[in-house]
Amino acid sequence: MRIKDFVFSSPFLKVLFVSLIFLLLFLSSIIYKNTLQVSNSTKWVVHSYKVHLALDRLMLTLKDAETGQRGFIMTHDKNYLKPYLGSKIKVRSTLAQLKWLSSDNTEQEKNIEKLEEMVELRFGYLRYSMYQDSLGSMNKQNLKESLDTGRNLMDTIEVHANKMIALEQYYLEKRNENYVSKTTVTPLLILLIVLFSLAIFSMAYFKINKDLSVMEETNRQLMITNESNRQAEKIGGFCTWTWDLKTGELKYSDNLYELLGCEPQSFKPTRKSFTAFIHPEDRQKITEEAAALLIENKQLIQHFRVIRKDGAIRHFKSIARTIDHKDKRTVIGIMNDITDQNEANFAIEQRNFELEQINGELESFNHVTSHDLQEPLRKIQTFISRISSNDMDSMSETGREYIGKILSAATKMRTLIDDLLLFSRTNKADKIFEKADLNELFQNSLQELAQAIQEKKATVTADPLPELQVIPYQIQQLFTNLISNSLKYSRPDINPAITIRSEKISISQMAPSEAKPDKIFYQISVSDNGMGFDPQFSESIFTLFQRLHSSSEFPGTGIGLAICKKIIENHKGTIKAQGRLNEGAVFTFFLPE
Amino acid sequence: MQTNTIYILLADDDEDDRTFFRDAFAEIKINANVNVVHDGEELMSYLKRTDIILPHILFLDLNMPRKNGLECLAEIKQLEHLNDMAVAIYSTSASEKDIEESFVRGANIYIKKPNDFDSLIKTLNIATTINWQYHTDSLNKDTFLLRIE
Repeated sequence: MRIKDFVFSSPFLKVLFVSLIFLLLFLSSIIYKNTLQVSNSTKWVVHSYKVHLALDRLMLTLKDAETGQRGFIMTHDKNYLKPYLGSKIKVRSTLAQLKWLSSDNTEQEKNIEKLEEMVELRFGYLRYSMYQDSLGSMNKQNLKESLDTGRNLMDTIEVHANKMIALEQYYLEKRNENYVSKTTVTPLLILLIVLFSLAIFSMAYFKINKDLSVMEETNRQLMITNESNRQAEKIGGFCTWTWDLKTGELKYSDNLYELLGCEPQSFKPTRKSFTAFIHPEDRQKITEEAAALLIENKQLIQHFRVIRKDGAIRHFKSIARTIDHKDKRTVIGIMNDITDQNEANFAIEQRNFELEQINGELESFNHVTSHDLQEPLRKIQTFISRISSNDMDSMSETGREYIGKILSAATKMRTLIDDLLLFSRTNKADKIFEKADLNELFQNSLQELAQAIQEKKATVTADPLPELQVIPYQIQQLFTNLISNSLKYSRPDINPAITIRSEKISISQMAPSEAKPDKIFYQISVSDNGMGFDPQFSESIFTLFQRLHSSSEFPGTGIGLAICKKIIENHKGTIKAQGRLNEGAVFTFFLPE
Repeated sequence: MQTNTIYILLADDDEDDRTFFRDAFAEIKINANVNVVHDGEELMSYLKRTDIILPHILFLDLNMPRKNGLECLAEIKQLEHLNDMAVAIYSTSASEKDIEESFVRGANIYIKKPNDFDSLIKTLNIATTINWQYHTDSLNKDTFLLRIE
């Protein structure tokens, strides 16, 4: 697996996603905690400030009371006493506030208690000064002492209050240190998370974007494939269906409906709705076989009949098999309407049967005519031979002439029948191919024709011939026919010279129409220096009963070369003739290796 | 009846052929006793008779009504008392199939009915003067077919 494939594989993405979520949660909790601490610090700042404020207010109130008292002592104007009179309640409430603020701090609590004592004492001296003042001028000394002591106490209170403020300041600073260290870490963390989230978001965006374009392309391909499938189904006359075994959902292709003679997707695909179309006689078998498919899990081929919506009975061929993808098993099926094909096959079979019958009849006709004709002919010949040996002398000249003509006609008929028999034998199907040395078969032919060769003073020369898979007696017959043909149509003024050439050739040297591809052929030719023939007859020369000369010139049946052609066809080869009048003829045949 | 008389039996349904056959033997300078039967069934019942002298040579046509030559040949080879009788197939046909079939079924010689009378005389002369013992022992497909044209 390539790295890229692994990175974007779904298990990896899942793990990445989950760990990112955890990381984000972890960071968020840290931030949350820090934020809590920050707000705590702020609270403490406020707290210190409040303590500071309360102490300041306390001092101010005390000073106000002192100033008011002095004013009264100097002027005895009761208006100056106002701050003094309200100050006690003010101081007490401030002290209560201080106590409440410092309820968690024992040191400050002690300080406050001490402060309270001193404040009480201060108020005592204030009252005492007022008392001394009310006694009149004789007690000026005492008043002064009292005022002085008050003054000194006031200083002590101030020192004490300052000490408390300093202590509060100390606490605040201590807390602040904590606060500062945390508040510098927190923004960094937030920044980190933001950056991290941004990175992940952009990665996700990139990935989603990419997936989306891949998906779009895949969708497009899928659409094209679907469309071409649909066309293929329509043209090919088949349809497809899928059956999801997990969900039980069936899907039919549009053409399935059309093959059933319905509008596409005109009914809901269910097993029941399809089974309704199956010919009642085939229904049970098809359902049972389909059930077996689910158990055995292999390919299932079925043939059944379907009754279309319009009532027409059609033959269907169905191929179904299961496919497993992950844990999902689906059955996919292809169905063909093979009615036309069946009918065509049936027609071909019928035609073949008829042809075979006709062929058989022809063959037996050929056999019977040539065979059964032999018997009466033999009798004619025998009777003539008896007449000619016994009664010739007592016959008239004309009678003897006629007998002679009957004899030659009968002999000609005999040759014809023999050749026809040979031809029908060449036609027959029981051909046994065996490896044979063509040189040997050729020598056998020469032996057969030895007398004729000698009579005509002919020379026969031949290349070495190959060893091939052939029907030996037929190839021998082929050589015999071709050589005797050359001997027969020799020129009277010249000794016949017959040459046999053999060559191994590949397909490229032959016209494509003359052989099947990828084959090696032996090209064997028999050429002579005889009378030859007009090139226009080079095709028709092989036709049965085709003769180029009158029988008075050259007796013959016109079967010999037809037999040659038949033999070569039996060997899946070809034969052709080339000739020039009065120059000679070449018969070339090709035999596959 | 002389001791060197040769007993010949012909089974042939064709009257002309029977005549040719008899006439040919009349020309051959040997002591021959020629009997004829007209079809396969008559042949078989004749050969099963006890009051006859068994023929030395049976000339058997293949194409006969009711029971053809090959069927007769098969039956003859089943009968022990006919073991010494030579069977010469005597037929118009010279098809490979017929020749092979009769060879396989145990005929001793195959004669294609000749086309003229002189050849017939020659052929029958040879057929009756063969040393059957020697011929049968060295029988093969080439010597089996006797053909004189």
